[in-house]
Amino acid sequence: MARDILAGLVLLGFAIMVWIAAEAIRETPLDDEVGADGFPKLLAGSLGVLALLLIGQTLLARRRGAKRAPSAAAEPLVTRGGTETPVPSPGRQHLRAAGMLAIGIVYVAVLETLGFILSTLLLLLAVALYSGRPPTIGMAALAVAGAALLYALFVRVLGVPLPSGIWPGLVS
Amino acid sequence: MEGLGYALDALLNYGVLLAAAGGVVWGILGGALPGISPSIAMALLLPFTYAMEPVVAIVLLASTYVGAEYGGSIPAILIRTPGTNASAATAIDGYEMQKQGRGGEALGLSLMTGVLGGLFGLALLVLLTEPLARVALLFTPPAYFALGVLGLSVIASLSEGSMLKGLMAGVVGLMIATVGTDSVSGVGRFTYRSELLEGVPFILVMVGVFAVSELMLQSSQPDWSKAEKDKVRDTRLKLPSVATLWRLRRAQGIGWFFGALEGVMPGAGGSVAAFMSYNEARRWSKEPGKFGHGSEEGVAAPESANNVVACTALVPTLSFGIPGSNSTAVLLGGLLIHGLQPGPLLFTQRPDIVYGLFAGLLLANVGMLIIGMLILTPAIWLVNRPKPYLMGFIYALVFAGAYSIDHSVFDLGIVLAAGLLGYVMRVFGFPFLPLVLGLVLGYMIEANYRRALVSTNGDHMVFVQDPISLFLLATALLFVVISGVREISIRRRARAT
Repeated sequence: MARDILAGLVLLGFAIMVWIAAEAIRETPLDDEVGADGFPKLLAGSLGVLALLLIGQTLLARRRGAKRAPSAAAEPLVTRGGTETPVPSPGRQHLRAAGMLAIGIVYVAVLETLGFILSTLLLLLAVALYSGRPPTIGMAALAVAGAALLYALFVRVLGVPLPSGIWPGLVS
Repeated sequence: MEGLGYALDALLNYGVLLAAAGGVVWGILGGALPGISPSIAMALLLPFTYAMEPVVAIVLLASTYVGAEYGGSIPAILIRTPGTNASAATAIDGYEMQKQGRGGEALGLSLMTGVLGGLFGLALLVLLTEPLARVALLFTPPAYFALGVLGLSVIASLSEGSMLKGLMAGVVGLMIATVGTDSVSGVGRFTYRSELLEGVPFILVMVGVFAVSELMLQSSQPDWSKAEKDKVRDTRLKLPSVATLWRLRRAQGIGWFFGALEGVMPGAGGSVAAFMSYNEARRWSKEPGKFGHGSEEGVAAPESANNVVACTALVPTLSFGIPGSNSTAVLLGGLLIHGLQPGPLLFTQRPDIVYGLFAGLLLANVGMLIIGMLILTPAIWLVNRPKPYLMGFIYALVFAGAYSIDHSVFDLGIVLAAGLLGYVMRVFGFPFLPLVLGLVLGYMIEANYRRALVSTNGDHMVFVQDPISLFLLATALLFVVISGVREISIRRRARAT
């Protein structure tokens, strides 16, 4: 229930930010009846109202002392044909998820410098190590083979130009 | 007849042949991996279709969808872990058959009934799509705006129990679609970097929201690396005889009926069709007691249904440009990145695409029979691989795919940001599909809203004066009201218990 209030507040804040940013969109003589800022403002207003409704609904449910909060009733019903499955959310689990994202951020940061092969090799190793697998020669071999395979697939077969980084220097 | 010519051209096109076969292979492997839904398998391919011939790209994506529907049943039957949501119903009796040493039989049944269901669905797709698309020829800008709103109203039925959250996710999707240069005035909106002048490519958002958030979710699970299921030994696939298929005709017919019904209705989808078919097959079965204990009908009905859906779900997507599921939203993305707008004009301007797609789907469904048999052993091998290595590969695939679109590292940042957004949405119980719908329908809705108002000097009455617009808006309202009433009754029941 607290999560829904938090989500409502965050989205309300976001709606206000979008409205302010839309205000800054400059007007031009080419503008139509609605203007370039009209639709974003309409959306920001709608999001704000919906966020307030979510907060209100949650507070009302809390006041009524409902046994099940709206979100608790809703969560198992979120998906039809997709993969969205709500997860329990202890802080450690979110930290682990953030760690996976951090690996991606580091990958993106070093991609152009190290090149696709080296970065991908490190990415495969990092994900395996992050999962708690002990470092072994097999793991290293798999990472090397995996990076080489992906390079061959994308660059050689599909003709996708991926960053070479320092790699040409290493092979020449 | 003209359409037949285009279809034959496509059948003789090596690119289409390869795309159909490759799509089925990728789909089966993707579907077989728990956590990789058909939409994720398709989203991972989406960036690579950029440089492809449009018909090849669309056939590749659609074939992946077809393959993934079968692929999902492999782990469902072998390790009771559905590879896709739609194959969850198959796991009930499929796994029981596996425990009885009839795993190969269950896989064969799943494959064969899936192929037959897919062919039935394809026939419906061919028959229904063009007549429905012709209706769209009568559409004016207000009607197109209303159609977009109707598409968004699907959100209400998709978000039962959390309609507000669904609507909010849809609005956020629409907001992302407003980023970029305004098409009317040429003014930049929320373009803080030059990379955003052309807007946020929805492919990147889809890849991030579906695939990266899934990786984050998987890594957040306790002992995720150790959560490997029982290793599966090789299983020899055994196709059912004609007599068996005839015996199971009632279950298959039920699957076809619900698959057709749920497929053409935006918002329903394969998992609903599969479970409804399973329940009805049990109700109408001569041996209902066998259900849950390894019933062949319990496998045939849901597998028929979800493969029918893989084709019929394309009816609203191709006719009106309204995707009813994550997978068809990705397919719509594939059409849009090649400048192809679904609807009647697609049939007149690019019949090669439409009939090429039909031909490709025919190839995919027939080819699935052969590929399904050949690929079983590699699929089982893949299911048995340690998860961390697979996840690392998928991560690398995501980045390579996203980079290949524009050769921009900034795009990879968008993918990661979308991944974070997707993860946060999962945690807070916000559904994805509304976001994706808002994203892909955003331009259509805004552009037609503004066009309609230009012609009437800002008079909003135009939306109720146009009869098609009025009908579509009223239908959208009805959708929302029905869903709202249902949501209130769910809450009341929840309070009562």
